[in-house]
Amino acid sequence: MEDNTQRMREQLQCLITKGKLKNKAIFFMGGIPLAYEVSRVLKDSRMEISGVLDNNPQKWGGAAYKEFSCQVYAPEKLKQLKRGGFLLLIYSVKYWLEMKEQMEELGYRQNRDFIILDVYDLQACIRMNRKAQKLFRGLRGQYGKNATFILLNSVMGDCYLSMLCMREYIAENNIANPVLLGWGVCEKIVNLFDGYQFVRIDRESRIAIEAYWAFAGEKKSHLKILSIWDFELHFNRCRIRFAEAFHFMDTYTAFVFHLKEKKFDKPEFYCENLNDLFAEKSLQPGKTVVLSPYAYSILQQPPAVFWQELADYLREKGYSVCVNINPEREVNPVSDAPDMTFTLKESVPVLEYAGTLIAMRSGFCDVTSSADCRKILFYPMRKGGIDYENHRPDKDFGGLVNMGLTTQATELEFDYDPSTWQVKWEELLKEVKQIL
Amino acid sequence: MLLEHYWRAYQGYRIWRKIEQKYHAPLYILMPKEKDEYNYYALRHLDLFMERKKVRDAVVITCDREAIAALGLFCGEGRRVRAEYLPRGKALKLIKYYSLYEFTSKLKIVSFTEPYDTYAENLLGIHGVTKEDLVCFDVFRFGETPKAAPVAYQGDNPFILSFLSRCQCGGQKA
Repeated sequence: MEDNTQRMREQLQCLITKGKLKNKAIFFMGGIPLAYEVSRVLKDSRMEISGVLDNNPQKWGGAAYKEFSCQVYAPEKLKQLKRGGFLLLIYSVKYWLEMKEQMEELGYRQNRDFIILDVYDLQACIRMNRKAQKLFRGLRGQYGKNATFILLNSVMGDCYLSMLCMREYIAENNIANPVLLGWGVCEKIVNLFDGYQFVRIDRESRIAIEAYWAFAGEKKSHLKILSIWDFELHFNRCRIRFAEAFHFMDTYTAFVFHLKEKKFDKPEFYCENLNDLFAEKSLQPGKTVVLSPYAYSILQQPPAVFWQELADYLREKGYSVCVNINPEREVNPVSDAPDMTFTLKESVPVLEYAGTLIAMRSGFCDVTSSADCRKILFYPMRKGGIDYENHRPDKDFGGLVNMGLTTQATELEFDYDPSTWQVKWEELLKEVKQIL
Repeated sequence: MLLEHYWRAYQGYRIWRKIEQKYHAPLYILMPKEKDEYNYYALRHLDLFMERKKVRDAVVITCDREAIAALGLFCGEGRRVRAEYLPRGKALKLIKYYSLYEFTSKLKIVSFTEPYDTYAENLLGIHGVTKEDLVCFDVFRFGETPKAAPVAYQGDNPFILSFLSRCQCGGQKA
C-alpha cells in the first residue's frame, strides 16, 4: 500500500532536526487522523501538539482524537499567544490552500508563523514537471514514440477494477502500444492479466506525472490518467459519480473509460500447492473460513474482540479458521488462529479451497470477487447524506453484488457511533451467527 | 519543451495579478467559453454559491458578452457581482497558470475540460445526469442540484434574450 504520509514525516523530521520547533507551542490544522500521524512523529522527538485548530464551533473544547488528549480550539486561539512562541503545522491534502489563506488573512506568515506540510507549491510543481518530463523522455526511448502511457490507480481494488476494463478500453480507442505505469501493488494486479507492458514507478513519480499531465496536457504527455479523483488533481474533482443512482463500477465503465460496451477481462489465478498450504496450518479443505479483517477505505473498524469471538464461534461450529493479513504491517486480531498469507495470484483458488470468506469490504474483495465460495462481507451503514468528498464505502455504492462482480455474497451492514466511529460489533456478531 | 507552457503560465499570472489588484474580491468565477450552456447554469446558481461561501462580492471573468449582459438578473439582494471581460485567449493563459499549481482558492473555473478533462462529461445522460448537475456538483460542490426560481425578464435586449434561451440540449458530451 502507498504510504501517503512519508513525505510529511520526512519534512517534519527535517524541521525538528533544524530546531524550528524548539521551545514553541505546536498547533495543528487539518484532518484529525492526520493530526494523529503528526503527533506520532513529534512524540519520537519528545514533542507534542498543544492544540488542534478547527473552524467548526461544534468541535471547540472537545478532545481532538480519542487516542491523544489535546484540545480543539478556534483558529483565533493563536491571537492569545505571543508571536514567535508558537508554530502552526498545516497538513491537509484537500484544504491546505483555504487554511493558508485564512491564516494570511489573520496576519500570519508562512514559514514564520505556520508551515504547510506535504504541499505542492509553485517550486514543487516546477520540480515535478521536470522530473516527469525526464521520466517520459526515458520511457519513450524505451517503448517508442507511439507509446501511450496509462497511469494506474494506486490502490489495489481500484487498480483491479481498472484492469477489468482495460482491454476493452484499449480496443475501443485503438491504442497500439499501451504501457501501464503504476505503484508496487499495481504490478501484482497487472500480473493477473495477460500480455501487458508495465513500468513500476514510485509515489513521487506518480504525483509528478499527474502534475505534468495537468500542465502540459494529454497530447503532449501521451498519457491517460485513471486516478482522476486524486487530490493532487485539484480542478473540479468529480463528485457526481457518488450520487444516489451510481455504483462504483460506473466510475470505471462510464466515468473513467467511457466504454461503449461493458466487456470485462478475465484475470488468471492459480495455486500449485493448496494441499500443502492447508495441511501445514491444519486447515480443513471446504470447511475453512478465511477472515479478512482490514479495509483501509473504511474508517469504522470492528475491534479485535469481534474477530476473536467470531473465530471462537466458527470453531465451535466445526470450521477451521485462518486470518488473511499482511504480517509486515498488520496484526492478527485472533490470537489462536494462524495467519494466512498468499499472493493475489493464489487468492481465488485458496478461497475456493477453503470454502468461506468473511471480510470487511476491501480491495481484496474486488480481486477475489470471482471466487466460487461463500462470502460474507461487511459494510458500514450509511448515516445521513452522502459525503461527496470521500470514497463511499456503503453497500449501495460499493457492494459487490450491486457492482455486478458477484451474485454469491451475503452483504451485511454494521451500525456504529458516528461521533467515535465505534462499531456496534455485538449486533454484527449476532447477525453473522444467525446466517452461519 | 515546456518553455512555451511556462511562458503562457507566466502571462496568466500577470493577468491574474491585474484582476486581483483591480477587484480584491473574495470570489472569482471564470467562464472561459463563449455561448456555453454551462455559463447559464453557473449564473443561475451563483447566488446560492455565494450564500454558502458567505461572500457578498464576486467577479465573473468571461469572454461571454451575453452572460455579462444578463448578469444583473442573477444577482441576489445585498450581493455585488461585477463582470470582467477577458478574451478567450487570455482566459486560456490564466487557466494555464492555474494548471501549473493551485495558487488560490478564490477562483472557480466553469469548465470540465480546461485546464484538463475531469471526465465528468462522460457521465452526462447516465442516470439522468445533466449539465446543470455537473455545475452544481462539480464546480460549486453542492451535494444536490437546487431548484432555482426562473429568471423573469420582460425586456428586449437580444444579448439577454439569447443568454436566457440557453438550456439543456440533450445530455450529450459537449
